[in-house]
Amino acid sequence: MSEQVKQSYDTIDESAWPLLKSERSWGQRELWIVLLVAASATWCYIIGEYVGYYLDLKMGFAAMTAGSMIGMLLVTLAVVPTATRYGIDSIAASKPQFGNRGWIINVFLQYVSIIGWNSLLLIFFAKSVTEFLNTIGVATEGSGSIIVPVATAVACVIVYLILLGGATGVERVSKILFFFIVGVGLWMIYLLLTEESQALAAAKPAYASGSLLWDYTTGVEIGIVSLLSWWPYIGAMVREAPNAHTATLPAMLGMGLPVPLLSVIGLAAILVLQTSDPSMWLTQLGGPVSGAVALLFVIAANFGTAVIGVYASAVGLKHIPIMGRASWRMTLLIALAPVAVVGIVLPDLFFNSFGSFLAFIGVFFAPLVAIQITDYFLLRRQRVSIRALYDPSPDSAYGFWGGFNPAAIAAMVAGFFTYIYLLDPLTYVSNSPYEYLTASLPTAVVGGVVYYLVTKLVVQPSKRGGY
Amino acid sequence: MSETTLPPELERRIKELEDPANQGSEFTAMDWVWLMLLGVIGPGILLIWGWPS
Repeated sequence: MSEQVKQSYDTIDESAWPLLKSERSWGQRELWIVLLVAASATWCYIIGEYVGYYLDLKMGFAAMTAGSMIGMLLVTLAVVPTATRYGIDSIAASKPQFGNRGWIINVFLQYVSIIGWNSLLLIFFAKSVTEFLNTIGVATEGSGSIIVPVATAVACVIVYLILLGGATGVERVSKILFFFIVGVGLWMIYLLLTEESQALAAAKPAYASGSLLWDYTTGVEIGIVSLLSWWPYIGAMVREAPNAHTATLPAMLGMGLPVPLLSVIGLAAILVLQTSDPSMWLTQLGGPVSGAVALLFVIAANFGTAVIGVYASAVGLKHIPIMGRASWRMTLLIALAPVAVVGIVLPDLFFNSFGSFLAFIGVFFAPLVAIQITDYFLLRRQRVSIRALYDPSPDSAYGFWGGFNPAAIAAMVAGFFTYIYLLDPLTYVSNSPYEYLTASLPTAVVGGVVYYLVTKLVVQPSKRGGY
Repeated sequence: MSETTLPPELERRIKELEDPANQGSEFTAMDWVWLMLLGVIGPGILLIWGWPS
């Protein structure tokens, strides 16, 4: 049997093919900026809001930051070594574990995850535009129903145009937005801590469960799952770096740390102002002029993250054969269209389901990262076949059975049920030992152990998987 | 042995990357120290600090 693997692209970073070492020119500085811009967006405010439902400022900050750094460690270990060794994205890096057809599961997860996060960005974006226009007197109260869909559509068009330039567009826009994000973030923290310091000291979380331990663990869990969702993003970025060393600190500090630091804004705001959305309180606390300028920065900052998210999603889609043959323009459209639909048609429904969306991330990405870490470090001893990654035939090293690895599927299923048992994603009802261990960490452990056992007992004795 | 025909450009890339000299290197010992500090020890200290005494 002979198969032809084709891809259509204008520049190599618009494809899912591996980047050569000579093409991976991003140093720590570039990577740091791009990853920081990718992670720092208005979604941090809603992450902080959810932590603020259960914890006060000090406990919330500690739990959220600890959880975020643990989640970032898992994502870094899962993706960075393979992505930087061979210049490949997160999807390609998962082929040795899921098989040369099974990786489609991860494309689906990546697609849904990025749609979710980018939809959130666009909803915040449109609200900020509405509030900005109200502040400068261009729009009137109640005109949001017109401005929101128009602003969302305009944002999608701008993201599309920027990404016609591939990763170059990502890097350029990141360098510009870096200062906006850091500057306005620091200003908002300053504003909240100075204007509302007394209220913050006395503030009590609105939905505290009565068990301090449960609330604290839930803060950690929210931090972990928020950062696990960087799995789809990170590969497409770190593959532009020449080695794992270049990517380590930018990943941990550039992509991991800014989320809890910026989430403090949402945490503090929900505790004292009962809303995490800065468009609702920036002009109130900062005054009309400063508030309007800050709103402009918030609007601009959202673009950076949306651009990077859609780029990562488009690169992931390129692995699908029919998408591999599609033009970069068409791939971008397919990556962007669902975001536009959710942002324009279902903004409130999605916004109100954010907690369940976060749990969805944990349910699937916790076992996924554990599978990759177990496979790469324990079973493959840090070596994969770059040829097999791009060989879709059944006799490829990663052909397994029909292109699917039963070890990965068993581990995902075991992880799924472990998570559901520990924490119901819809109701947030938990079972012990959730309050001591979180839901994501045991899920990751179960996923990793099941993957290891099935590989040792079934896959390796069958001489499958290229071990 | 697989009979998949790869496009010449992809084939060229794979051939080059099959040589370990053209691959990116792994985490260094110092990277592992940072990873453990930032992803395990740091969070542990933060959680102790954040818990009400």
